[in-house]
Amino acid sequence: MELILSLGIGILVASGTWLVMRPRSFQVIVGLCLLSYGVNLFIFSMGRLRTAAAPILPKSGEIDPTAFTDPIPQALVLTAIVISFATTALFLVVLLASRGFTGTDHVDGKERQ
Amino acid sequence: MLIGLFCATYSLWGASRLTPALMLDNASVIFALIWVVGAACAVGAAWQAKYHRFAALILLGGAGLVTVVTFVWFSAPDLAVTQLLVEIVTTVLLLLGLRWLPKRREEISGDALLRSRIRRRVDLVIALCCGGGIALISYIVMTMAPGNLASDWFLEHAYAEGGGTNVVNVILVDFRGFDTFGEIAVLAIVGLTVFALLRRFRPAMESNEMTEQQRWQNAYDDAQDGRERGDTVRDYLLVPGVIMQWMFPVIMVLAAQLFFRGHDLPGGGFAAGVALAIAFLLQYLAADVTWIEDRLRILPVRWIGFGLLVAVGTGMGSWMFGYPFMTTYSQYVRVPLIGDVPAASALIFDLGVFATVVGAVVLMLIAIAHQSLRWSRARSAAEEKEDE
Repeated sequence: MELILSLGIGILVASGTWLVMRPRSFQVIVGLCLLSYGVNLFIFSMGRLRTAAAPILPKSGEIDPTAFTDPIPQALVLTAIVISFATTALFLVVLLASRGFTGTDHVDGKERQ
Repeated sequence: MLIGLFCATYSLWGASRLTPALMLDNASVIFALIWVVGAACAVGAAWQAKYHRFAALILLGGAGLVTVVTFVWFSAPDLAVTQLLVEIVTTVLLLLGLRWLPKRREEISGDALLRSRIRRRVDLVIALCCGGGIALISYIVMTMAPGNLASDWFLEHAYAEGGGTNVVNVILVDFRGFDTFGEIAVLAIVGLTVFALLRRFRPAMESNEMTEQQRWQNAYDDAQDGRERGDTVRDYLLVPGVIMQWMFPVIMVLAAQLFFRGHDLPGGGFAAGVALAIAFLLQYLAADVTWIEDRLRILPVRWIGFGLLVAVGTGMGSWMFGYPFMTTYSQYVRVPLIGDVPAASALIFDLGVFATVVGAVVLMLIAIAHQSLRWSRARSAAEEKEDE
């Protein structure tokens, strides 16, 4: 399980990094989305992988912390998901506006000579 | 694509035949197959993003869905719900952006030059190093024994002091409420920035023209007797449109459900906010923008303002009782017919989160969607001037 997920994270990050280094704005946006999946899963996996141990407590009785998965990485990633949507939107609009000004979707604002 | 499809079918087909005794061994096989699909989607998106933007977008969604499945698998229901909803709005957002990008032909001058080839090779090596490195780090950390005392404290005190059984939500709105307040402030600022940038947006001249599909539709309507321009657009996807309009109250109820159960069960202000934003968005997709805005006036900026004020107000409320900023209080209130409902002051804070998320998401998406409308108005005004 750990091996599969770490390979998956690696592939997401590799594809994202490759796309972020491309010259066209749309490639960079897709790359940032892939990178955000990879990074979110990475932070999430820092809490170790547990199946059937969702951090939903019983309403009565002693609470045994070892019976639940780590809630802190989950809380961090939850806000990161919403924020990454916001940054994607901002980035898309900045790139569309820059294309309007410069007439090209190259990230440098001009086609390479 | 074919390999991904094959693996998906195989994993689903295998899942129905599993016996509980074999579950432990086969579980990792299924998980591996799911990630084969995920990896194929990620690499495919990287491959196609240059010339086939729509395909890349769909593949990106596939990678997102695999992420959702992973969250469910490793006991993170809150994350899965939020990721799934955010996935929908991200896809719609990028689809709205596609229209303003230039047409891309298969050949770009200088693309086959030695310099660009070398550059691509170098980039590939860098990307593979990054991916391999992060895979190695995450594998090492995941296989180490956990030793996190902070999360034990949160698990032990979430119900006793936060008054909620969903520890993730209690951390967000109670223990780390100030952080969450910062997050929604960021979200509000981004929403307003997008809005402000698009007010002065000048898209490239070549994107201002009608799209090819609009021209076909108009040509068809002109050629037929008894049809006016725009009839095809009005009839287009009529049945899904009606279903989308009827889904409006259903999604509202879903958002309310996610919001109220958030403190005890998976859900919460973030997920509920995105769900309500999707409800509004579906109305925009189902009908004409002008039709929908005659009937439904959403004022996203007020939603944002209301949300931030509620969040700050809840935080300052604790001053009145002599406690520090954002101290929360919780108890259960018995509501007739429904039963015990958690009524923590954190719930009011979550209401602020909810309203800010709705406002920011709707503001961004509607601002981008309005661009087409604005330019088609400008275009018809210019055409009328020419006719005179």
